[in-house]
Amino acid sequence: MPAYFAKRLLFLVPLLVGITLVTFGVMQLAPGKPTDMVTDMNVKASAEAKERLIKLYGLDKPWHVQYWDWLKRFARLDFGRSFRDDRPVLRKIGERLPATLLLNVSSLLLIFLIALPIGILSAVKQDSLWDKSLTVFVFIGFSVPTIWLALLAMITFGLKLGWLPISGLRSLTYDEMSLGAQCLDLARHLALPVLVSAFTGLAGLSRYVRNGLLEVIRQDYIRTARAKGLPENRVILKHALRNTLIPVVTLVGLLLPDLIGGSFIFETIFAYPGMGRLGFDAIMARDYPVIMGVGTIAALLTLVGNFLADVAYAYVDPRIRYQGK
Amino acid sequence: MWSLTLQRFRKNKLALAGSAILALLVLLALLAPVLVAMDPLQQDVVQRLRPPSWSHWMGTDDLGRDVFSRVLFGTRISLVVGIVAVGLALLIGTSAGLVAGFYGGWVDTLFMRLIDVLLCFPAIFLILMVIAFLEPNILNVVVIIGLTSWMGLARLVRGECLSLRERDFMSAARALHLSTPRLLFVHLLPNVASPVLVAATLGVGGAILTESALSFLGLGVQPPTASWGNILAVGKDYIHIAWWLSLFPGLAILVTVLAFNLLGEGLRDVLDPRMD
Amino acid sequence: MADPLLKIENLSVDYRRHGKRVHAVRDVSLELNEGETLGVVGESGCGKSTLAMAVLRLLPDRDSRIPGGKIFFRSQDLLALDAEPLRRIRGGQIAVIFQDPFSALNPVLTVGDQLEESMEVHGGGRDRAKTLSLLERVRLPDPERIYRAYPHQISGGQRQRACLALAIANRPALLIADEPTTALDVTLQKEILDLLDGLRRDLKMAILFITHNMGLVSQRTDRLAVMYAGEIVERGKTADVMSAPLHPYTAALLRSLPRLHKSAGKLPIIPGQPPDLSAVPGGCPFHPRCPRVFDPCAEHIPALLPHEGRSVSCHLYHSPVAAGR
Repeated sequence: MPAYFAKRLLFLVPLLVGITLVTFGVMQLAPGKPTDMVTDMNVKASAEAKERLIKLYGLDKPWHVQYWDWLKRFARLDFGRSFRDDRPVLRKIGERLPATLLLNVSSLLLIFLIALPIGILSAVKQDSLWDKSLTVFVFIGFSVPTIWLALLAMITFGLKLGWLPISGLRSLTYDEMSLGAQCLDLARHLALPVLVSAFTGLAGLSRYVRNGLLEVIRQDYIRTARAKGLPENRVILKHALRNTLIPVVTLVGLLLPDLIGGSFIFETIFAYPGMGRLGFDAIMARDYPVIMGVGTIAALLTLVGNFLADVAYAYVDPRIRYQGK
Repeated sequence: MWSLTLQRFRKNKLALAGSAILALLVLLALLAPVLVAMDPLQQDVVQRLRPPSWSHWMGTDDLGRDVFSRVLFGTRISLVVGIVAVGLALLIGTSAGLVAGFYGGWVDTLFMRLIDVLLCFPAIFLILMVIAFLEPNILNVVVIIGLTSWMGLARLVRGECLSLRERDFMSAARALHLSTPRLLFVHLLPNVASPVLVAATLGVGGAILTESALSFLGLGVQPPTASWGNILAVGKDYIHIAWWLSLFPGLAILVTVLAFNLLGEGLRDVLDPRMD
Repeated sequence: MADPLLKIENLSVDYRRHGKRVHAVRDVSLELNEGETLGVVGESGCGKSTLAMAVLRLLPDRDSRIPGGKIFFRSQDLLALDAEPLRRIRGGQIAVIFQDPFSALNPVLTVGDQLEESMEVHGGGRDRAKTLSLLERVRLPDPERIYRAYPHQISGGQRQRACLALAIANRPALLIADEPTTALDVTLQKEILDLLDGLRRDLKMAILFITHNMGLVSQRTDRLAVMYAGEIVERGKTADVMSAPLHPYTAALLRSLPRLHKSAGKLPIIPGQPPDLSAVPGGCPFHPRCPRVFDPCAEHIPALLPHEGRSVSCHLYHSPVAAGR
């Protein structure tokens, strides 16, 4: 097991280097020196800020020196300071990250809580009306533009019915509320963004669980479980489901980039104070240090998520857990 | 072989439904100038933000433009962006996959690690990052969607290559000293065509969704050009008073993407009879 | 005479495969008394495993159908049972051991858990000491280790012993052994068969032994039923059938057995292929391959009728006219 983790960790190193190269490469994309653009397009970027950017990317040195210097700063997660308010990029991201994590973890939980029973029921009642409805739902889930879904949800639940707030994370009176009321307030603000961002993943995961379970039910060991007289619900929920869920763990890793990518859009639509909105606002204002910082942190989050999924996979599958024993 | 595939295609409900909707959409896109009486760019300040009626049956937008005309013309943008972007991804992905799968070794490792790295970045933000440095216009949007969506195709082609390489007919071809490009194109490509076609069809839907999101955020196709994402963006600004600006363009995206997804899943059934 | 333990009456089983109906078992009748061992022999694809799985209704619901017949176990019609009484019989009074020990055990559960679970659902509770003694009973070395092990951590022979332990956990009256040694190598085969023999004597079980290998059943069964193309073609005491086979197919199966004292020379094989069960030839299904084929064989279907103390379906012994067909 430790050897397995060591191997996995080692595998992260080239990916990490790759991420820094891509980020660095994107920075070089700008026509001419990025600093020219900064001064042209961003009036708020002072001469001082420009100097700092030149220093950060070492734009007057050969590119490998630039990259090496930048890498050393990257190791300390030093992305420089924002053009807009001159605050350190890392601190700005740090303020926004918890809200983004809250949004994405809630979505992930919701996806699993709903998709598992839906998928199981469809597999157990294969070809039933329920199962066919799931197929339709999956097709729609993969085809629906989530921005549109967000707008419709805002119009329906926020404006017409007036049940839920359509923007922000807290009410104006949040600070005067009791703890219980604060939690409720947060939940009400989270409801729409979480529901909308979970939609596509929901369709994908329920289909995955259904197909995976159908595949597992055909296996010999399920026949053994039935042959020894286990009740059918135990055959499904213990013997079949455990085997189905093992690969599902790695799906978390696949869902993450989509979810984090989605936060850039949903946080903008719902005026949600997270890292995605920070990144988007930075793009609109051409605040390059913040753009690069947010992009890199988002990639790192995905990387860490994938690694955790791998670890969890190894933990739940005894064939890997007891490898070579 | 082909007639058999065609026969299965005709029996496949998904594929038929998908291609029927697509045929209709292409027709609408081509005939858009004939079908609508109103210019999608024609402003009419008196008629602004009118709900659906007989004369504007999807209503009008903030500048008094006819939403139906704009949605209809938006079909052109979406289809073109989706198909061209996937065409580009297809070109890059297939070449990368063929090269990696055929040569193996360090070339393969290099490509696969590159793909792993690119997949770490949430696609939409990678696109947003790049767009931030370039000018947002339709060409850049197409190129960037293409450049960020070839990875899945490359993996697919590489995987097929690796399994084909071990098969008898490839070693026979090598024994005959057939040249490398000939091996690639004559023997490998036809074998990987089916799964690639399926993935590409499904990919068009994804590209259309990406374009609409970019345009919605103001970083895609620029106004006043009618794109579904642009109309939705106006819809968000007037969300309190003009629901029709949000409803109709989104519906158009849903139907279009659904058509490509139906066709893709249908093609999967048709081209891969093992799955029945 | 008391009722037989297991009585199969005119059983037929159909499969649906690629849209075609396949008649896997056709009008088969069998009896098995308490403590008796019955061998069912035939080439692969003759329907013998389907027959065995039909007894416990372990055939896949979606693709198979039982258009006719009855299966009585202690005078109770298994095909008419509700889910709960059927469950209590499965792994209780009737147990199964399958062909492939590599896929018959659930990979994510420990051997001990899978054993205890079987006793638990039949009212025995979870008793570690009892489970360990069960593992000892099937002569597994180091039962403590096996108890804690996952299936992939023990060898194929050990797995089949564990499956055997699973089968006898609730002291069944009938054990269905579906090619229990086919997946193992020859030395292991004999060990497992000897173990099976010992357990049968100790527990006074009846065994329905399914195999394609006549050599395995010659020493270890009381009676034999030979199947061809979904039907029984010959049935009788093992000693009688082995010493003087009546049906040409039985004779051919016997001739194809390797013998220790007869060295050299090619083993005669049965010419031709077993028929595709979706298109069984008219008349006697064996006639295209039969060395003793004559006029009526292609025209009339022979019936399974008594002859010299056993049953055989062949026109050599019963003229089609006399049989009333």
